[in-house]
Amino acid sequence: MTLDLLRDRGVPLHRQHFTWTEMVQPPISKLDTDAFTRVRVILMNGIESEAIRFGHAAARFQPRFHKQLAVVRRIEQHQQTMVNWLISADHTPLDTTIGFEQVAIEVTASVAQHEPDDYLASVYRFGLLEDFDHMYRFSALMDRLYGRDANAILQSYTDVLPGRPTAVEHRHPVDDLRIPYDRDNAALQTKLNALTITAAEHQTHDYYMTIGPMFTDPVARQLYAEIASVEEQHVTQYESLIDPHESVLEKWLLHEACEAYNYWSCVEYEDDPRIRRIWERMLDYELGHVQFVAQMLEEVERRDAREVLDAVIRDPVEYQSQRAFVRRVLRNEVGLGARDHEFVPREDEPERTKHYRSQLNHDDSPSNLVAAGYRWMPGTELAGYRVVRGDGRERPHPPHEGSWR
Amino acid sequence: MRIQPSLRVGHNRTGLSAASDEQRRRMLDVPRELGPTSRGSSDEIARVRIRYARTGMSVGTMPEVPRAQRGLLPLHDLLGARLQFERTGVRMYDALLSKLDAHGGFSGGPDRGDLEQLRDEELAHMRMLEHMLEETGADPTVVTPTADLQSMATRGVSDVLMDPRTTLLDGLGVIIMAELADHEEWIGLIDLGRDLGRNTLVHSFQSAQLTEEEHLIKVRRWLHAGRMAARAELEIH
Repeated sequence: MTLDLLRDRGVPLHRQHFTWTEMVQPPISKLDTDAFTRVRVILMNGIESEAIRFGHAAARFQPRFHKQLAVVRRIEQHQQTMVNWLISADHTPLDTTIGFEQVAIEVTASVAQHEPDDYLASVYRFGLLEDFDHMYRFSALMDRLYGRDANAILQSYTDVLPGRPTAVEHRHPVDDLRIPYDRDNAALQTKLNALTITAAEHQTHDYYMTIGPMFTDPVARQLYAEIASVEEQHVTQYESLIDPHESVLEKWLLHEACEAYNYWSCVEYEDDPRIRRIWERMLDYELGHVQFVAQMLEEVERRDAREVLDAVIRDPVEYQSQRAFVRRVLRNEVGLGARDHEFVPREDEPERTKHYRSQLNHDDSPSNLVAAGYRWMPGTELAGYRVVRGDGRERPHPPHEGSWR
Repeated sequence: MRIQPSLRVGHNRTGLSAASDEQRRRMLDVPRELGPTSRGSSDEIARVRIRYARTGMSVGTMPEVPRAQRGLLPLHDLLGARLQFERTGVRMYDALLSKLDAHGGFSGGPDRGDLEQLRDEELAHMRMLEHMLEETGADPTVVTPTADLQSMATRGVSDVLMDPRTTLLDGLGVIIMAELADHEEWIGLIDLGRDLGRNTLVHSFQSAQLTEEEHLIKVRRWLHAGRMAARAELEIH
């Protein structure tokens, strides 16, 4: 299947309606639903959230589009609700966190392999190894605070292993900035990729900033503070890939195209018929938004929307385990750091980043603390403890002393 | 005040009596025209709950097993729930130990060895349950539906135990909720084991239930001693 964003016209805006009951449907099952359905729900919540965020930012600069932006934003709000409310309440904030990191690993790995621009692909691989490490730290937290196994969420699609250690991910802000694609020469797929990953990371950041204070354990609070800071870096990094010279209407059109593209990818992979019907409906709504904004672009800027949406989309986001690719990237690129826009061996990072990092990590390194000696085991690390009978008591013994990477 | 520092006069503002006379009077003096905008009572919430409940959704199901083993599904569900509860229980006692290490104990309360013993007994139960699940053909890494529900129910207990603002006495006051539930669930397993004619399992369940009964007796005793010590501390101050 292919997606032609301008030929497939979708549902016009005046027929896009919701009721509260439609928005609040029975949720997915934490135990039975395939992990990739949850991955899609989490990603699409992030994509919708970005659409609303962009719509508000645009309205602050473009009073002439106030009404149109308000109308589309309200629909996006209700789309986001319908999608995000599919997460069931037995997902603890930490369960959903594991889901967010699975999105960041699996979706970024898919995007990295389908990115036609080598530099942007290297940026996705760079960020991927950092989110991969976050998964490991959060899994240790889940195990050591609650005695629960993150693999019940991951369903064995994604490894729980250290990546680029979170403690060395902290960089001076200017070393998080990358070179944007060129709006005139970049492929449409490149633009959609950048918007997708920026949206996912922004929502992850916002989610951690919301739930971090809900934990009582001080290490959990510290860990969310630390990883939320890295997610802010990731938003800075991915956002800087987007050409800032695109006009507001061009950006808006690309946002709508990004939403349609992602719902189309969901439709391509979804096995659950009820959830698939939601993706199909949302795809039709987004295609309606694409038409609406394309028409505005033609009327206001006198530009053919085909100048922006200049290609038929052939590659959906691949919703399947990317373990082999991730392990290959891990072996080859875990030692990288950044200097300005480029990736360099970590020892060659600028002094400003080394200073920034050592200052932040001066008292404690939450990510190192939480995973000290941690190795994931099926059924939690407690399953590896020996029970030794002596003096009438049974004492747990860790299977081995761990070491920090 | 070391045992229960929150039990002193401070600035709690949550009650109506904390408000000024003027604010309290205005809160209570509401004009008739500012009443509810929809008819009915809290029964309306029940109506919606019932409607959603009738859609037939559940939190989840059990994994696929051979047809001959279907009769063991209730056992596997409850064993899985106990296993998850005991894993969490180990971490709960870890958190309680930190409270003891942070502030010390009190007369008649647990020492480190006492709490380690309870934690290690939860661990021993955990290992026993892993073996039982494997021996009866089930996967001990599965989160069963009852395990999922009991995890939801115990979230609050873990939260209180991990909060550095709570004391050993506060911690004992909530871990007894977990111990009570745990004890009750072992009794349920004994009944189920008998119904299924699994005498070997029943003996193991009975042994675990007796251990949990000892836990309950100990925690009750420590709670009583802690509350007495806190009252004494209050009188001194």
